[in-house]
Amino acid sequence: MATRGFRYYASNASKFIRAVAAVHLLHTYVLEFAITGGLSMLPTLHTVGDHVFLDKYNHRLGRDIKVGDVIVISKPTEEHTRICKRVAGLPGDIVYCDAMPKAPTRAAGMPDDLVGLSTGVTNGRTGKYIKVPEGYIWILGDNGMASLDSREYGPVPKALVVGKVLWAVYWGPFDWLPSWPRQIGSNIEATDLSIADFLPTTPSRR
Amino acid sequence: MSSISSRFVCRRLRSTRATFRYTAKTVLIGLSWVPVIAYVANHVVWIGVIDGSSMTPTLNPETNGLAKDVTLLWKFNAKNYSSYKRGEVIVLRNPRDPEGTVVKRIIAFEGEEVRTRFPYPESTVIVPPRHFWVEGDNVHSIDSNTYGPIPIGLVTARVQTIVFPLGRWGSVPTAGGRDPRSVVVGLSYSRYPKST
Repeated sequence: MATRGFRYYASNASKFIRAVAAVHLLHTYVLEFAITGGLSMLPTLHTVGDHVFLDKYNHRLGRDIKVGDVIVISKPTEEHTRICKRVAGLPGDIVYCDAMPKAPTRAAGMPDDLVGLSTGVTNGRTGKYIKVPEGYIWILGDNGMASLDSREYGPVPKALVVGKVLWAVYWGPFDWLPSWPRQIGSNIEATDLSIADFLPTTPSRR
Repeated sequence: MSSISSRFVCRRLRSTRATFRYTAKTVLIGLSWVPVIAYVANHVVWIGVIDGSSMTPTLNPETNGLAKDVTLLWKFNAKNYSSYKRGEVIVLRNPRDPEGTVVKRIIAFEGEEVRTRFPYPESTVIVPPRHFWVEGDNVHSIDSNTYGPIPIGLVTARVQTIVFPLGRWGSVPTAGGRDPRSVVVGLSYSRYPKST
């Protein structure tokens, strides 16, 4: 039996490289499936176990986003990290920057020496109205009490936007199967979920 | 008779369908390499033509706007904050226009206090975590003095090598920024948490 020569391995390796590059291209520029976590987007997204579909093709670099969209951006103050928040202001909008209490920042996982430290952009502007500059957006987490967002970072450049969240699939850590996908965003139909459905021991009220 | 005529008969060696299949197959194989080239162009290195005069005289020293420098854009390791040195020329997305990119020089890093130039509204600024203070070499450049410190997420590539014109082929000098009036004064953050 002839041994497998260089051509066999080379052709398989080149097919592998091409396949990986094609998947990477789709994943980075078209659609991505990402895992979210944290308290800052309650009740829209669960604390743990929510998997979201990001539309990158239409909304990378902040194209075509509107107020109310849930988007994922690169975190301004940390590299290789992304955060998921809701757009609250577009360029030219006037937004209100409310004061962020220091204690919830601690709850969100910040080390003690950085609690209350701001990026300097909104320093001195809490409690004031801010006009969002051209090319920037104002983002807010749905759970204002435990969210690091534009009240801390200031207006965020649109170029940091990675994609817009379209659907979320909840697969809880103790669930056998994932839940049905649900739409996320500003134009969703009203669901019959309430905050009570996200609490572990409270029965849902209608 | 038949032997003489067979010498002058033109025979198709391949059917039209076979040629079509061969062409289609070659084209598809060629297209399948496009994502690989796209990956290299976006994550390793690509060629960039520098536009504008904000980095004069380091880049685009001709002021007539016709001669544009061609440089290598190193995208490998571009999003790694600690890999940048003071004075490196970088390409970043324009904070005021997400579709465009600008080329500037890094002046200051996170936690450093920068003395700003006109038209920045405050006289000193502490650069936030994982942000850069960038300025163009030209006095008239629109840079951090207009839009403030920029986050690492906006940085796309490093400009290290000029490819064309051949007379200035070579590395882009790290010293060449405007006179160090915007000089770093001290570190205000003692540490920054590592990402988990």
